[in-house]
Amino acid sequence: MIRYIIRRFLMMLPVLLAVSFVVYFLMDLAPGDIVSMMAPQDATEVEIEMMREEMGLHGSLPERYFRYMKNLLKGDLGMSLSMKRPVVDVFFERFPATLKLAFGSIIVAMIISIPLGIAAATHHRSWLDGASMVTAMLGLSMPSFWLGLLLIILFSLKLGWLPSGGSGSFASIILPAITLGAGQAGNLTRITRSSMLEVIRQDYLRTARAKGVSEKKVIYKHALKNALIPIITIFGSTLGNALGGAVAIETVFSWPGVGRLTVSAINNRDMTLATGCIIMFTIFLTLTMLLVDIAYAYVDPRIKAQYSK
Amino acid sequence: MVKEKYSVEELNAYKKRSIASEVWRNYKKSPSAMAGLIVIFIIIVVAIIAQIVYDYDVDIVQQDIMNRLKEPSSEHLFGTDQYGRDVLIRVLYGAKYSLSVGIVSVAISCLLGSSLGLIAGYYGGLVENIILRACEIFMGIPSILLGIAIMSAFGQSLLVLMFAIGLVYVPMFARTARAAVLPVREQEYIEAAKVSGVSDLRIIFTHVLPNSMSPIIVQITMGVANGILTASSLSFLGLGVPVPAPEWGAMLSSGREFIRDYSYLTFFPGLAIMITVLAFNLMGDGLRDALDPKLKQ
Amino acid sequence: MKKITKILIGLMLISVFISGCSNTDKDVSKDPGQSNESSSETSGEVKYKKEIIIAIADEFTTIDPMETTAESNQIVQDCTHDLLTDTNLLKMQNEGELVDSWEMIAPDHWKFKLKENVKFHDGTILDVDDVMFTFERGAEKSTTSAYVAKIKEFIKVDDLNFEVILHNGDVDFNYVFAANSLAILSKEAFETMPEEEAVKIGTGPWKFEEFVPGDYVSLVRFEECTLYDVPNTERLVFRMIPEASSRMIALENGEVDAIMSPSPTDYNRLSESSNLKLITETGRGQHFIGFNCANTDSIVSNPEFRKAIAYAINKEEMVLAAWDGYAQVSTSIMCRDMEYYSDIEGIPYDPEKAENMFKELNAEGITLNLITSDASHRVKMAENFQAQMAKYGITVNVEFMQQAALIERLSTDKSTEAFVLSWTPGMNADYMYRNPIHSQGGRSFYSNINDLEIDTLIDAAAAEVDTAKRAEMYEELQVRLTTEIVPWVPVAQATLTMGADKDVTGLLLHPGLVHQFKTAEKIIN
Repeated sequence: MIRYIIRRFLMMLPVLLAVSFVVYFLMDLAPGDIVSMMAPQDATEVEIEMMREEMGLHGSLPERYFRYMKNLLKGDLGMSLSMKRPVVDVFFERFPATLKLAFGSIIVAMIISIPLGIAAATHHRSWLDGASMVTAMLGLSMPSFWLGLLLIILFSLKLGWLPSGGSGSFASIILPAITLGAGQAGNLTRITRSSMLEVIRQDYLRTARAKGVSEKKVIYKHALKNALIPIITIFGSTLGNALGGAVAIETVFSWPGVGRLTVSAINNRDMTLATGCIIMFTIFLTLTMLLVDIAYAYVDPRIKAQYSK
Repeated sequence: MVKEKYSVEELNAYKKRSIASEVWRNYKKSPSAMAGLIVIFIIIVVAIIAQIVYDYDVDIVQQDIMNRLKEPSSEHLFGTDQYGRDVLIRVLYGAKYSLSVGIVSVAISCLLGSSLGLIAGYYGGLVENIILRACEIFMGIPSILLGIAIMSAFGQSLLVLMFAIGLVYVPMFARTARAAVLPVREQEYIEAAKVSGVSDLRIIFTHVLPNSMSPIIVQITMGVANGILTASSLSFLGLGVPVPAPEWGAMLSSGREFIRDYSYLTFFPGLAIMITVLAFNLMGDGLRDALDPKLKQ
Repeated sequence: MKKITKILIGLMLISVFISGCSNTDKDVSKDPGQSNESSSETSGEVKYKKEIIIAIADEFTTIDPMETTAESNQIVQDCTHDLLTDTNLLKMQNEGELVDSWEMIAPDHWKFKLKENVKFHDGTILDVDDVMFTFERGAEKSTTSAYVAKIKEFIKVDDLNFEVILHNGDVDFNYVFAANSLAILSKEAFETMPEEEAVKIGTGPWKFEEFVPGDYVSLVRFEECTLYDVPNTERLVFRMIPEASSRMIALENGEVDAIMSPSPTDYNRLSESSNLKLITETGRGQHFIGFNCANTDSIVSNPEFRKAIAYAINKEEMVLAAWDGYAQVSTSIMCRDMEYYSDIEGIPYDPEKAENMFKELNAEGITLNLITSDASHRVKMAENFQAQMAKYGITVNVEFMQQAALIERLSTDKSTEAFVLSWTPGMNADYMYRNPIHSQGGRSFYSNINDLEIDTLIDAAAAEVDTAKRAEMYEELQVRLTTEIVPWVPVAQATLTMGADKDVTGLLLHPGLVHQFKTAEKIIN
């Protein structure tokens, strides 16, 4: 198991280098650079060239990428070109807000999807099954920013219950978490339902039923326990979704997350910040996946046995 | 009259037919899946009719500023937008864009992704490793951010949008296809075909692909839904289909500043997206159930 | 079941831990919006709200005035730091801010006197050394080096008086000191504190308090401010809300007291509301449809064609489409409220004449390529232009791109035909022409006119000391550019707007978009 973890860590390095290359290359391909955006309107060509040098944007693409990569290998993501501060600092100032939103949305998604999934599975192929699935998928099928705007109008403007944006108080996370969570609930419901269906038909549950254990108890005590295992696996991908896919929601709710930061870095052609943010995302996602794998092995002995082979 | 001898081809054809009809029987059982299928059919028909009935240069481009922002009425069922253009016509005409973004981007990711996945799963070893690592790299980048980076690099147009979304979902197809091939790879008939000197390409297409189709089919329907939603998100962030093309995401995005007083401007395109995406999702779900032998009763 | 719960809880704890770690030194207890209802008593019976919250659209990133020229930063810096000279927004003229008086001994020799007893936030008194230090620092920063480079020699006369000798004569040199990035910093602060702390020290009526990236930046009043009256408000908070509709809702909910750049669709709601108001001011930004006059492969190089387009465009309609009517239709290339503007007739809307001209030019059925950025009003202008031109049988292909890409295309792509852009000059007339028109002017030179006569005229006007002669020259420039050369078809100057609570006062709109909040306050009844 430990060897497996170490191997996964070592494998991260080439992946990160490749990610940095892909993003750096894409950013370089994008027309325009930060200097032409930031230079005063009356700057001369010489001054603009000077600024490029100052920001380390001089030379050909391989030269520039090589310089960047050399620092990256030392663990240095460089300075943000637009903010003139270390990329790591800028990223970690905003990261907590993103994490909070991600976890908030996962909680919302679980609250919505576990009951719906159970209802659908226990009433398989009945109208309740269909209705639950359609409800769950409704959230998945709406453009998230649209749902967000509608929620703002209803809950903060018409009813005045919740703030429309910001991240200051606990109340302000509720609407963005619901918006993001509603989108993820669809997948989660689907998984809960199918894993429940699988479990329900297993022999030991039939035995339990035959022994006269009440249906409710069968579902909640035995079936749910096993059905929840696959939910851990989806935890990783859901978290990834919440991290990167929340850009539009962060914009609607003025949530100070990293998604918005990355998009504005791309728009402003802040090469180092954009590349750095995406590298940090990748690191975090890979770590989450690893953690999920370990957790999975922990709950399911069969998998643990595989790793120790 | 009953035919006594069947050729292998006929048997195979019969087998295929029976699988298809079996799946169809299963699929029909789910009312929500059927509803999805019917809705998709209607949307496609509407998209085609709108192309014939309306003239792009007249109905879509031309503005009528004096009649701007008219609430829905009998004259304009969905009202008019900030340039006095009929929202109903734009929503109907826009079906083409949203559908084509969804379908073309899935076609791209399915073709690229599935072939990579098939190759990886069929050959195994180093090839498999390289392909899987490459997928890992692209999956490590949050999809919407990768989409934004691609759009920034290659500029805003319908074609770039399709490619951006298509590329983003390539790894997902590759992994699905590979996972589907793995159990097939070990089967005896593949071994038999290999021994008898059938070319790899032929084996992949005649034996491996048909037997690993079902997860890919499900992924395709879900992919269309995802593609339409991703396109609308990119439009919202200012990187979608350029105006005046009435792509639904772009309409939502340009109407969002009017959401307070003229909510119908965002309501109808939003609803159109929701219904379409929901239909594809329901269809995908129905297919998944119908194709999954474990859930057959 | 237990194991799974444990794992889920474990995963969450890890995340909480991560968020906790990186947040330790920033206590969020001073959350904006919590002290909404509290008030402070000052002069007699009048009660003022303790805290004013302003919603800004773009992100604030740094308090260092020399770091960027983004308006979202300059708005905050304007509250904390002062300039040598500044635009008086009420009178619309350049006045001394830290400078008490000045004198032009010769166009290349200027003399300035600082105000006495101006206190920095760290308690030190402003003197000429601080000015010198600021210029020295500015010489190395890209936002200011061009300004500092104009100075050949800086002479300190005493603690309050200094003289500058310029490389080239400039009769409008006092305007240079009004550049926001040249805000005066404290020399002592830089000697005693780390740089990131020292840049926070200014002379303004507001002191930097706290900055939560992506969320808000807060300022507290500077009790010992001598340059301005001590504000009645105790705390000034700038909250970043990128979406216009979200800003508006926050204002209606009372979460904020004022909002920057409301959406044009909300103008009516603001002005008709019983407890909100719309603050407006004529803007100086000239929005136009420009042409690449040097593209000889294209019909746009023909001035007759450009003139025909000027006749063809219904600007009123475009103003309605792009700004909901909140913009003033332009008749001249020059911006209205500038010095030496004269009210010329320009080219009026005349569809019949336009149609005849297009016919003579064989322009019907042609396709014109237009590029612009994805900013909302530019998209709307381009879309409306496309629709208007369609009536004359001219197809306009519009290509939208990000701002960075647009600048790149305009400065490098020789096949550019037309573009939608805007130009917001500084106060003085030379600024209006030098950058976008003069062939040696700078990089805003996207129309590529290359007209030596015009260049000479611009240079002559800038060096002319006699104001009557100068006025004549600028009028000639205005007429020739607007009606003969037509490098752009000026469309409109958008109205500057801000939304606010009805009881909020002291908000001043700046034509260059660096709005002033120095005296923002709100009386509570």
